[in-house]
Amino acid sequence: MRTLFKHTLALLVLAIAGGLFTPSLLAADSVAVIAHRSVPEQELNKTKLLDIYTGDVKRWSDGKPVVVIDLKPAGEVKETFYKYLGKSPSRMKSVWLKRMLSGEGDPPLTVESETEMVKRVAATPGAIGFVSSEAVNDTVKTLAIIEHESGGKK
Amino acid sequence: MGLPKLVPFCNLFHMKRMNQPPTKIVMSGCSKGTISLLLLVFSICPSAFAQFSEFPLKMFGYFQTNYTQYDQREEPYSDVKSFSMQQLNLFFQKDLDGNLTTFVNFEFLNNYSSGHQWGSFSVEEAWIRYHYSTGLNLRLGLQTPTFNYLNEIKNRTPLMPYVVRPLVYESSFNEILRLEEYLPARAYIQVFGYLPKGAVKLDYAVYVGNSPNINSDPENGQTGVDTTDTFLVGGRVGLRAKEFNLGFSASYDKYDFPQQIVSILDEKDITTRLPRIRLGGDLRYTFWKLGVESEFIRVNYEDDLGGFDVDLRFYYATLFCDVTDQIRVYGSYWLAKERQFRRAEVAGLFGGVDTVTVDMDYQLEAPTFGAAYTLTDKIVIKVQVAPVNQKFRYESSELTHKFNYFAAAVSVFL
Repeated sequence: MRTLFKHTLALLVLAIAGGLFTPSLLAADSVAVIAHRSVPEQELNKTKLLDIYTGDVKRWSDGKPVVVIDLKPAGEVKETFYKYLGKSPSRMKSVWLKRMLSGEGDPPLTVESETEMVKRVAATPGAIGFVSSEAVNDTVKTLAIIEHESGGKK
Repeated sequence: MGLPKLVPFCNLFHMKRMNQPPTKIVMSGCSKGTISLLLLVFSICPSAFAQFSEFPLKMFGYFQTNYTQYDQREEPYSDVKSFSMQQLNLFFQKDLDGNLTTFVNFEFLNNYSSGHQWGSFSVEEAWIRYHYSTGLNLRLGLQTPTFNYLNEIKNRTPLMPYVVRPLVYESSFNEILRLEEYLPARAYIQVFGYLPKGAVKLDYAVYVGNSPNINSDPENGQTGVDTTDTFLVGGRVGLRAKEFNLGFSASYDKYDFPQQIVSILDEKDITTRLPRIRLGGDLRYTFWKLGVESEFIRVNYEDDLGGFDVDLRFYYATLFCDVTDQIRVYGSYWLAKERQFRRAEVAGLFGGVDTVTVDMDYQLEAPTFGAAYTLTDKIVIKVQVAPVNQKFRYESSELTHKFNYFAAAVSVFL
């Protein structure tokens, strides 16, 4: 048992050391925050965007419910978006999980690709999502552009 | 009185429990039938009615199964190894309209089996919430009150990397610590929300519930849900800014010490209905891949019980690191301090040995280390080790009990 105890501790130390020096993924050049055309907001700042994605804000300014959509596959777009919000995807997941298990809200809907994201946002009143800037078309409204280098927005 | 010789592990607070198998419950045939009926109704309802509703009934939950091993570091105690279905929770949630939500939480603990009379089943929560705005929510019904960070989510095992939760949040430590006294367990009305100020949010929660074990008719025993002349009142205020969370909690109620404990004290005029104030503080901060999480709880009884100090203290601090999106490792330190009644053998005035009741310092200390690996969105694997030290002190006498704890668990979402 003592051997098992020591081995477990050693594995934990190795895991920490390995993880701290793992480089982050490269991030996309720019990401667009998109919404259904009926959404009354014309732009969103970082604080409001974070409040929406953490579930603190559940309604748009006209009182209609917000429908949050997340991109399922990990990649540059997702990395850039969550880095801008200051949360890792795993931390966002735990925020959503806490809300769900406390009865305070549902996790976001998820889509498999940027193309599907644009289609889903365009078809769902109150929806908000994010894609790379190149994927945006005129079926949706753009609320913010996140530049990777500066971390700023339009 | 001569120097007492301490009698180990005979905590009088828990004598009644220790005389029974700790996980045993007695259920009537009616209770078994009720549970079966509930499960049947809820398993049929979603498929039968959900499709006709704009707001369907949602069912979800999780279970955690574990393997635990206690390695005693001292004679004469023996090692313990065990598998267990630690916990299974089933949730039912339904939005009645845009502002009203109902939520029910059924909990099964420790290999629950009504046939074998193992484990326990309980309705942990059953409430309806009215959402007026982010600053004002009203929750009515059975619920876990907001107190510090962990109290509300202590039973949401997938949210935590721990297999064994920090001491007072771990139901299996019920035979070691006076768990039910550390935290407010149930409330029935709660108002909560947050007020934004730029990127900073001020959280608040205020609640009302029953004082536990207070009975207006004590001759007929205590049930914990009797009509009471004293309510539990409490709340929490907190500050959130990005990855920084700070909160302070307090509650006030009265507590009836069980007659079993009172009867062993020689004092005749003991007021057992003691006013109690709980104070708590919680802090969470994450930076880069690192984070810290810490809490303290102080439980103060306004008067001592027949001259015996029965106050409680608990502290914990965890440092964690998200090594990758899938792996979190942590080191944590837990410390609980209690004044406990115990039997002690002392040298009698005229020779021989007398057994007397003393209140002594009890301390449970556990540095612990562990990791959680998110295998998929639905499965989390956990391991944890802890060298545990227990100390009992009375005047110049000290007794210790040390053991190593190893646990592995899997949490699965349903």
